[in-house]
Amino acid sequence: MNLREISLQFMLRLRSRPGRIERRLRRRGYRHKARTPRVGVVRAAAVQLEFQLCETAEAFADLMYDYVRRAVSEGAELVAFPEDTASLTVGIMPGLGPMLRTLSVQEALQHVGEDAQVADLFRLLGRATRRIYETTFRSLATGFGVHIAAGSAMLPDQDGRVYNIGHLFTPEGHILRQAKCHLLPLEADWGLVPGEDLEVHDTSIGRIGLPVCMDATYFETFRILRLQGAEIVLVPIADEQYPYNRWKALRGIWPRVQEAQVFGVQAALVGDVLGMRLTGHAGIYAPLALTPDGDGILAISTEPEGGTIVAADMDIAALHRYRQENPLQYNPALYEHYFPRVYSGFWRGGAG
Amino acid sequence: MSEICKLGLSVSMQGGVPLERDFTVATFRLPPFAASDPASFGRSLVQAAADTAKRADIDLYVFPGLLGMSLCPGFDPAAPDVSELESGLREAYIAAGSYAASALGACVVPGSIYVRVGDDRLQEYAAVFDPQGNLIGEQRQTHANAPALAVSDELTTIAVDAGVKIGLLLGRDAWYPEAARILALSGADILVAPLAPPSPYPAEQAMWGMWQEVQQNQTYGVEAGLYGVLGGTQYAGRAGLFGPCEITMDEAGFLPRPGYFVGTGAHVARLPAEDLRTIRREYPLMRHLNPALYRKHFPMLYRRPR
Repeated sequence: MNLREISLQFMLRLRSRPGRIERRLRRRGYRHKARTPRVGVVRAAAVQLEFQLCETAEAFADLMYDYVRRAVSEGAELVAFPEDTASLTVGIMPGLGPMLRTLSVQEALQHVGEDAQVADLFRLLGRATRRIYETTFRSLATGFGVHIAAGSAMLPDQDGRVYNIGHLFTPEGHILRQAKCHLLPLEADWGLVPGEDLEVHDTSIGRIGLPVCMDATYFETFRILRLQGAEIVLVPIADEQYPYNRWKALRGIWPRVQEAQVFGVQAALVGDVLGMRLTGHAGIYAPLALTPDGDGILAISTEPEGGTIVAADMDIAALHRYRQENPLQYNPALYEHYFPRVYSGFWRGGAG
Repeated sequence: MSEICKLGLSVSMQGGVPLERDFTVATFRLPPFAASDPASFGRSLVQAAADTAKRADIDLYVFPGLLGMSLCPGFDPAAPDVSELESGLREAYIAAGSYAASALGACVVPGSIYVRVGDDRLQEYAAVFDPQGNLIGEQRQTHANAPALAVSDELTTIAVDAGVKIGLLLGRDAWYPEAARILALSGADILVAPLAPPSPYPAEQAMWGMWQEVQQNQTYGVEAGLYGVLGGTQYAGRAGLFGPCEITMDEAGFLPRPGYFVGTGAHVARLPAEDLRTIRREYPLMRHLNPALYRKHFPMLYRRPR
């Protein structure tokens, strides 16, 4: 590490000190507390987060605080944030942050003369990002007494491999993690690495899966989670799609919830992000029969742009009754016959 | 009709090259026929296709699920009773399908029927015929509508022309993504579902069947739907032709225009081969499948869910 890099890391450490974040959030206070849970029912809030670069850790903490407080005031026990929520902290990077308002990450790196992959930026920022992100959401989850699915963060592991990692912060201060297993082509180009396992986490509000965005395009994700006992699947998204197209948006969480008979909570990052225009709805989904209009939607934002929150009750007991009345009839012999062959040879000539 | 179905009985489990030429499909939304013998059933199939007869470019006709049960009056598919099944039904269905394919000069899926499995179980079954009337492929249901029905553990792609493979999804198969994934990864570029959904069958229920199977596999899709009363049960099928959103009008995922066909008769669209190749190249979904993940859990987890 040369002097320039040492200086940069020193400055990032200063800018990401946990004490600054904790003091800021303590000053704002936790007067609203999560309501007393009702047996078998979980009230969830999904955040539609308008992207803005935060040039200080305190600015990031303030913004997240506002959303969580609003969700808690609406009775939420579970608050879900979108994919790449941690990317708002890229603004703390000296010189690079302001450029990222208009340029893509790759363009910004080229502009400052860096011959680097995008993943290198996440490696560089990893420690500071992790400190700001984890301190903020752990403080908010314990302070308000709620579960917070904090969307995802691009973070390096000890070997320098960068993953897009979903996080769930519990009121007891625990952090549960899940690496994204199905990358966007763009993320692969950036040098990210896909996760190789999916877990269901036992929590006091239910059995929860934490896939990330593109994972919901592949039925296998929800099937694995359902077979592992998931009741609630949280899907943070950040979709580059402008203008918004409702049909394309139907290819993610909505059919997966139907196939797997689970509740789904989708939080969306929207706005101008790193040279992209993101749109999407925050929404809470359920099997068709468990929704008032029979459309699989318990709550959804009115517009696919702009910051907002939607909230709804998820009746876990009703879900289990529905599953008993409509049991899935798998065919393991069929899958044993074909899966090893088709997945090992999935590359189709010219098929992408 | 050029070069169609020259592969005859070729049934392939290989992945191979993607759709090699444009393919035109007619799918149907129809009530059961009043036909109690193979000849009248076959003529009814041809008659139903009459308004498409002036189009010489149709490669494949797909008729609704359980339409073949018109040959077995009194049988209630909603409460299938093996003792009510006419012996020789499969032979009658095949004779009618063969006749219709020859008369129409195209490949035909003449809906589906129930067949007997062993002494006391029933199974949904469909066949595919080439323009000469030859039986070129068969499929049995792999995910049962009811626990009492038998299922198959075989899914096969069916070559309906050089470079054109289809895969059949019968009844509930269209709502189990495992079946469509197996067919797509085995090389089927057109997923074909002759369906007979009991009423009510709202658009939302339909959408998470064939429409989304097509989206997550980047194939084309065909849904044919039975409507009306059969054996005392009311059916509410729809007809639809589907493609990946990006290559369809308004990016809605339907062909030739957004929405299901809920009239009576034929619904026709051309499925362009180049468009399918383009979307697979530009948005390579299959490249990001995660076999290492699936190997950890499949298929064991189906046997031992937690």
